[in-house]
Amino acid sequence: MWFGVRLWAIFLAQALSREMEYRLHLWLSFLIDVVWYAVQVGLFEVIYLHTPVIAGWSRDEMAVFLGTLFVVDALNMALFSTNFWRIPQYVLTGELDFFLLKPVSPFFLVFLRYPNVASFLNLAVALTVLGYGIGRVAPPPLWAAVAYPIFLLNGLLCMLSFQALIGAVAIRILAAEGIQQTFHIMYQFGMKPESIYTPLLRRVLLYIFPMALVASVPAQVLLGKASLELVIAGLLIPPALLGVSRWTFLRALRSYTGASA
Amino acid sequence: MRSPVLYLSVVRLGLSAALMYRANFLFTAGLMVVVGVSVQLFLWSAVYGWGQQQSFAGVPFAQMALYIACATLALGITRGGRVERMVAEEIRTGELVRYLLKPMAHAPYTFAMALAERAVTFPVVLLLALGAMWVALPWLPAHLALERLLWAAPFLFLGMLLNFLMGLGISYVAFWMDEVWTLHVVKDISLWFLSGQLVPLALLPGGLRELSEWLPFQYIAYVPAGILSGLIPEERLGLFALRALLWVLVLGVGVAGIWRLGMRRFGGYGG
Repeated sequence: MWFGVRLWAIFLAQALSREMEYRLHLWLSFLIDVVWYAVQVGLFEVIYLHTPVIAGWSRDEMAVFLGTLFVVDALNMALFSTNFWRIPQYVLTGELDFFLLKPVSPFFLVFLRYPNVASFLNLAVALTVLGYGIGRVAPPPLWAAVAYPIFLLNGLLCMLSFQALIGAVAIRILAAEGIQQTFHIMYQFGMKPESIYTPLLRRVLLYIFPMALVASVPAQVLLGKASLELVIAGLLIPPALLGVSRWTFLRALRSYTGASA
Repeated sequence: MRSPVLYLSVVRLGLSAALMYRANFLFTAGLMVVVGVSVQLFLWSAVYGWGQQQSFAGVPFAQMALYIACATLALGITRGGRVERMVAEEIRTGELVRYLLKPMAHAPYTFAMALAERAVTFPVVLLLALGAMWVALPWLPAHLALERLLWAAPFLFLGMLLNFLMGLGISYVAFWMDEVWTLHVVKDISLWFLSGQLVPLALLPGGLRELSEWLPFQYIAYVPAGILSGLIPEERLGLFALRALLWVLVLGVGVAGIWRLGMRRFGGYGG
């Protein structure tokens, strides 16, 4: 564990050093997510000009939801996302060979090798939005405040799990850019509170394609609005999903034959 | 400016090129529209309290649902494509030299290629959007009037042209900057809001609404979708057409200016 942390710190230092060479790129990458945040906030701000509540969410509660979404998204972008997009390239060029030769878990290396420095800057913006939302709602119960970081972490685990499952497909079918984009399109379902969907779709987004666990359930936990079912699902499904996706990814690596040499 | 026949042959070539990438491109473009329409319709159904609230900001649900579906469709049709983004890469690698040797102007040539690319995506996006509308709200496509479709068509073309000019202008910045893809992404994300795809621009607060009327972004989704859904009355179309054409002229002159400045700098060492 400690070795992994030290190794990742080296990866981060390398990423930082690279980004300092291309500072304009760093700031423009930062700008992309800030614009994305602004668009999401802008949509709801305009709607709340004309109505006090959307599917049981007030304006301030929606700020908590959006803050949660932005924090999970920024962490995902900072830690995993850049690596996720590189997987087809690793497979096609044979670069994956070098990951397999190193005395570290290939799962760790594939998903954490290249941290995204710009997204750590975005995390500050995301935390500001979250802080704004939390400051405007009633103080959460103690248990909710304690449990919230765990659910936030579980939301992040869900994102990693989806990407690991798609990464496993990428190893098997080689050209997987289309599937990677498909995941990002489907991610739109997680960008809105799950209460806007039909009961059937809410079940799907909780148990089959658990996008609701990314931001909607953690935000509801913090606001004290989560049902017992949501709390149990939010606690148990993400670790189980990560276990399955990690196993699937490592299993897919067995079919990898290498493309270099 | 060369003979239009020359550019028609470029459109034919572009169609072949666009079909080469059809599987991946059409699938993601289509899915983006289907998921985008679905998620937006779910959100707006919730805003209307699943039928409990008859109108929102004076707009009945049927009209809002039609607007949202049409705005996603409009942005799907007018959105920036691979062709104008590739221009930045060609400038960076020096491959632009190949175009400079051809007996045609670069911007119209690129537009002809872009037109071909859109011609391939258009029917797929249209069918999928109508399918998504039909699945989500089966009564919705029946609200589309043929007359309004005919009015909206030229605005869709103008919206596509404006989006193309913005994209090409950004790509031409590659004469000075190595990487401009981030600027393309910023433009595309901003357009979700600025074009009125997510929310009708008429719902913006006073000052912002007036500002949006003077900017070119509304022609990319808000105006065509507003016409299709009946949110924009027909008597305003003349004014919108005039302003859109003015923006085409302004952006066209701007893009031509960037090109001329860029060509003074361009070395063309690659290729």
